[in-house]
Amino acid sequence: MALPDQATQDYLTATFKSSLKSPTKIPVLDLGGGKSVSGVCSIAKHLQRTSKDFTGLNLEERMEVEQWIEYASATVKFVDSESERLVLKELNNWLKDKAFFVANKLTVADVIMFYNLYSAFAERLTFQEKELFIHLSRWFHNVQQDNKVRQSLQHLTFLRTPVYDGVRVH
Amino acid sequence: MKVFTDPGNFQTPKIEIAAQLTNTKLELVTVKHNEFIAPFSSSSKLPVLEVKEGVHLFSPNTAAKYLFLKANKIQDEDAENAFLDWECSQLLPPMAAYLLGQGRKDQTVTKSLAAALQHLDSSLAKTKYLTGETVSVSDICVFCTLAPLLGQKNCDLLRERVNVQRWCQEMSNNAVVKPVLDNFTASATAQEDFKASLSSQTFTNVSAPSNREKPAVEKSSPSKSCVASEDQVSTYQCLFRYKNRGFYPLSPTLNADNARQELWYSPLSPTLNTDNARQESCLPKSNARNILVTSALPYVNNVPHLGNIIGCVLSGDVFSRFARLRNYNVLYVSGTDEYGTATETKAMEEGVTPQEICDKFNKLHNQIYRWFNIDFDMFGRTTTKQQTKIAQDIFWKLYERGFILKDSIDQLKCTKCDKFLADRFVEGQCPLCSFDDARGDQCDGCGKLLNAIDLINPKCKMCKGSPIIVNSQHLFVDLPKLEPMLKSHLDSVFDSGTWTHNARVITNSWIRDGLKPRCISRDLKWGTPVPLEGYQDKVFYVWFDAPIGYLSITANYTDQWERWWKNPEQVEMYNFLGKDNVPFHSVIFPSCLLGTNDGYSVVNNMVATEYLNYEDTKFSKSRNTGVFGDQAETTGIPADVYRFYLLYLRPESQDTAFSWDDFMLKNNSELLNNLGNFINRALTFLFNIFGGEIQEMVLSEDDKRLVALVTKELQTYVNNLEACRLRDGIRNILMISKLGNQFMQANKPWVLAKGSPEENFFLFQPSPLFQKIEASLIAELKEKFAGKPEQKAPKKQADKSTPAAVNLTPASQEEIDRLTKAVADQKQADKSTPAAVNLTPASQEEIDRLTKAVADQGDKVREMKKAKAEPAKVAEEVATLLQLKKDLSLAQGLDPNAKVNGDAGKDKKKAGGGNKGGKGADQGTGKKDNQAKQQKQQGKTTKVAAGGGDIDQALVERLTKAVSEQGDKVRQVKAAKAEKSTIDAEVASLLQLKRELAVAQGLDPEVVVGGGGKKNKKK
Repeated sequence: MALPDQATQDYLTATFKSSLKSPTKIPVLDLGGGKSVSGVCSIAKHLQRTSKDFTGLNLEERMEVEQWIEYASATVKFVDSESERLVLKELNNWLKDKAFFVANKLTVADVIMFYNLYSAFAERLTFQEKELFIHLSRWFHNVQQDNKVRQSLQHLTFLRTPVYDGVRVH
Repeated sequence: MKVFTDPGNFQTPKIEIAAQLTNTKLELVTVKHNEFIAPFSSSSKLPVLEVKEGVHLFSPNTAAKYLFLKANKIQDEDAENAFLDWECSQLLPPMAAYLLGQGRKDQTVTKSLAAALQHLDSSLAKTKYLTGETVSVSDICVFCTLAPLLGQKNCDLLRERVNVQRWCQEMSNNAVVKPVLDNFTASATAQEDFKASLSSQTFTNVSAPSNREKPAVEKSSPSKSCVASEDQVSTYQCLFRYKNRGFYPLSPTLNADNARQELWYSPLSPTLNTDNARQESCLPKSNARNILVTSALPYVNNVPHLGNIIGCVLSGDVFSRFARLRNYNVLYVSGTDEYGTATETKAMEEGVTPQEICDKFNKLHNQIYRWFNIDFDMFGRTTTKQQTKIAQDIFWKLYERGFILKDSIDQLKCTKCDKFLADRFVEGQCPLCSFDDARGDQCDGCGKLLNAIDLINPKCKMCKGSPIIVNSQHLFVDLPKLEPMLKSHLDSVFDSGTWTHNARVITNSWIRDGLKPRCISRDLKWGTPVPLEGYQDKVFYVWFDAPIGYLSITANYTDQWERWWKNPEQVEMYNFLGKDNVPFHSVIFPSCLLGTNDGYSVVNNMVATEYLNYEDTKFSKSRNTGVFGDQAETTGIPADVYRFYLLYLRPESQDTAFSWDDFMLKNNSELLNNLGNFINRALTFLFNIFGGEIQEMVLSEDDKRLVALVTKELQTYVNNLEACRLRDGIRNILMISKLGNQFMQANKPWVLAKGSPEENFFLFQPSPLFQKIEASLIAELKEKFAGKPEQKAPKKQADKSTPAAVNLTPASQEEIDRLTKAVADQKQADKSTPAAVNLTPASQEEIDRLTKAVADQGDKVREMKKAKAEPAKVAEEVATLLQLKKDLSLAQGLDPNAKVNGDAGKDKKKAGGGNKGGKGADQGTGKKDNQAKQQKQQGKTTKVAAGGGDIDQALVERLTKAVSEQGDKVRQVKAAKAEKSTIDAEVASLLQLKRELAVAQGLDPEVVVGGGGKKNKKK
C-alpha cells in the first residue's frame, strides 16, 4: 500500500481503534447499529464532524475542511512531476497567509494533506525546492511536530536559513 | 451568494438545483472558461461558490451539500458523503474522460464508467432515491454528472441497468431539476459551450476500478478480441487481460501452467534483438519497419554542453537503440555543421584555415560523443563533396521548377576586411535606446532585436573600421509558393506521426503568420558555392545547407543513400532536435525537398526538446557556465551516469535545470539505492546461495501479481518510448526495480535462507522471477561472477535506451567506488579520502587508542574555540581531529566519510547503526549506502562552503553542547541497562539534536545521523 494510504489508515486506526476495519484496501468505519462509513474521504469528514479533537468550526469552515480533504485524496495523487509542481505551487499559495489549511487550527484537512504530501517532502523535493515552496514547508514542519499526526514517520528536516535566495533570481 | 461559472459547465447545475431546493438566493456570474476565481489557484476550478468574501467552495459537491446543510435539509450526513465522495472519485473522472472522447481510445474509461454505473444500479435497487425515498443532495450531484449521457444516441451504457433508468426518469421529470437542465441546454451555443467548458477544466485521472467494483470486474466476460495489437494495449488492458484470464489475484481460479507460459512469453514479444552486431551498411528492408533517425547537426566551433547532448544526440541515440531492440531497421546519422561565418571568424582569430578549424572540432565532437556512448551509424560532417553535389542538385531542381526568386538586400560591408559583415560582427549604437555597445542582431541594453543596417555608427567587430552599406543581389526560396505542398504534407504527418507539442506549435505559428520568401545565399567564402551564374561568388546560407547534411552524410555512409532518402513509402523519419531548430526542419527543409518533386523522404516525426538550464542559469560557453562535453569526461563520473541523469531530467515539456545537488541526489536515490540495490541484491543472493544457478521455480499468487505489475510497467515503457517520451520511460524502469525491491523486502530471502530445506526451495523466487528480464545477461553474469561473487557487485550501466532491465551490464564494485571518489574530487578536490574503504574492523586496542585520541583532540579544539584562538590555528587542529576520526572509523570498520563531517565527535554510537542493517545478507547494500551518503554529503558540503556565512555560531555551540549532554545521557541509560523503550526515546532525541546541529552547521543532516529515513525503508 502506498505511503499516504497506509499512513492515513494507521492514523484512523489509532483514532477509532477497533471500530475501523479494512477488509479490502478501503477502510470501513463501523458506527454501530448497522451503520458504517467507508472510504478514507468519508471517514475523514466524519471524524472532523464528530470528534472532540476537532471542534469549534462553523459550517463554512467545516465545508472548507471537507473540500481540502477531497482535494488531498484526489488531486494530490501525483501522476508526474509537473502536475506535482503545479499542486505544490497552489498549496503554497493557499498557505501564504495561513498557519493551517482552515481556521488557523489543526483540522483533519491538515492531517490528510500531510500524509499525501509526505513522500514528496521525504523523497522527491530537494532543499532548494522545499525553500521554493516556503509556506508549504513551514506548514509541513509545523504539522509534523504533532506526534499524533506524524506517528512513526521520520521527522523531516528543514533548513532554518534560506540558502538559495541568490540563485533563484536568475 | 454568488456562483462563478463558465458557460456550459455541467457541474454548475448541481449548485443551481441545490439552491432552488433550499430556497437560497443565488447570483450566477458567468466568467470565461479557465478563469481563476480563488486567488491562490494555479488551475481553474469552476464552478466556484462564493460563500462570503474570501471563502470559496470549489468542490461543486461540497457547495451543494453546504446549501442543504444550511437549510437543515440533511438527515444523515455520512450517508450523503458516501455518495458524494463516490461521485467525485469514481463517477466523475471516467465520465469526464468519456465525454471528452477518450473512451474510444482507452478501454479503461468505458470499463470504469460501466463499473460505476453498475454500482449505482445496485445502490438504487432497494430505495427510490439514493439515500431514501426523497430527493437528496446525492441524487442531484450524481444525476447532474450523469445527465449528459442521457442525451447521447447509441449509448448502451445505461442499457440493462433498470434501476438507473427508472431513477433517471424520476430525476429528469423533477419539478426543480427539469427547468434548470432545460435552461442548460437551451442556448444556441449550448453544445459548443459544454465542450469548451469540459476541455478547459482539469479532472482527476481515471484509475482502474477499485475493489469496491469487484463484482463488475468479475462479471465482464473474458474476450480476447478487445485486446488491440500488442503495442497498443494500454497498461490497464494489459493488467485486465491477466485478470480475465485468471492470472490476477482477484480472480478465484487460476491455471498455473498457462499463466506462467503466457506471462513469460507474451509481454516481451516481439522478440528482442539483443544482437549488437551491426551490418556493414544498413539499408531499408521491405519486411521491416525502416526508421531513419537524425539528430540536429551540432555547430562545429562550439564544444557541445550537456544541454546540446540531451537535446539531440543523446535523445536520438536512446530512441535508435530502443528501435533496434524492437527489431526495427534503424539508421542513425548526424555530423558537424561546419560552414558559415562563425567558423570563418574563428579561423581568422586562430590564424588557421576554416578547414583546419573544422577538422580540429569535428575530432573533438567525435571524441565527446564516443565518450557518451552515442551509437551513430554515421557521424559525418557537412564539408564534403557529396554535400556540394546534393545541395546544388536540390537547388537546381528548385530553380528549374520556379521556386527560386532573385532580389536585392542592403548589407553592411567592411571595406578594410573586404567582406560582408554578418549581423553579429557589427557593433554600434542602438537606434532604439542609444545603448553604445549594441550588436547587429540584438541590443544588450534594451534586449530588442535589431537590423544591422539600422545601427548608429556601425563598426566592424574585427577591425573597428566603419562598414558601408552595399546593395547586393541574393537568392530566395519562394516559400509562399511551396506552402500548399508543405501544408498537405504536414497535415498528414501531424495526424500519423509523433510530433512533440512544441514542434507542432512552433510549426503552426510559422504557417499561421504566413510564410515569406527566405534568403538562401550569403556573401561569404566558407560554404557550399551557389552554382548559378552571377551568384558564383556567394555560398548557400547555412540553414538551406545544413539539413542537406543529413543526406550527404548518409551518402558518405553508403552509395545507395537514395534508398533511404528517396523512399518515403518505406522509410519513417524521426528528427531529434532542440526547439530552436524546429522551423528549419519542419518548414524550410521540407519545403525545399518537396519543391524538387524528386520523391524525397520528408520528415514524419519530430521530437523537439525544450532547454536544459544549468543551476538555474543558462549554459554559456562565453561565461563558462555549465558542463561541457569535454569537462564531463574529466570529472571521472561514468558517461552512463550522466546519461541517466540527463534522461531523467530531459526537458520534454518544459525547461529543466541540471544541478549538481540534484545530480548526486538522483544518482544516489535512484541509480544506487533503487536500481543498483535491486540488481545487487538479486545477484548477490543468486550467487551466494545458489552459486549462480537459476533454480526451478514455482510461482505463487504474489509472484504472479508481481509479474503482472512488472509487465504493466514494461508495457507502459514500450508505449512511452514508441511515443518518444524518453523521460517517462526512465520512470517505468525505476518503478520496475522498485517493485523488485519491495518484493524482496516482503519475502526476505535472507531469512528464508536460514530456514529449512523446504523453505530454501522457495528462497530464490525473486531471482528466477526476473529471469526473463535479465535472461540475456545470465551467461555474461555467470562468467563474471562465478567464483568470487562476494567481492564484486553488479552495477547498472545507466543505459536507459533498452527496454526495461534487459541490458544490465554488470560492473565491478571498484567502479562504483571510483565514481564516488571522482564526484568527491570534482566537488571538493579532497584527494586524501581513500575511495574504496576497507571495512575491516581493527583490534580493540587500536580502537580504544583512537577513541581517546579523538576525545583529547576534541577537547583541545573546544578549548581553542573558547579561548577565541586564531581561526587558522583552530582550523589546523580541527583538521587533525577529523583525520583522527577517520582513522577511528576505519579501525571500527566504518565508512569514515559517513560520520567525520558531522559534529564534534560524539557520534560514535550512531555511526555504528548505519551498518547494523547491512549485516549478513544485506552487506552489499549497507556498503553502498555509505557511499551514497559519502557522495551526498560531499556535494552538500561544497554547497554550504559556497553559500558561506549562514552558520550561526552561537546556535552551533549551544547545539553541540546539547548533543554532547544527550550523548552522555544515552550512554548512562545504556550502561544502566534501562528498558529498551527508554533507551530508544533518548537515542531519538539525540538524533534529533544532531540533525538540528547539522542543519545549523549547514551540513546535510541525513548524512550526519546516518541516513535515518532511507535506512528505515531498507529494513
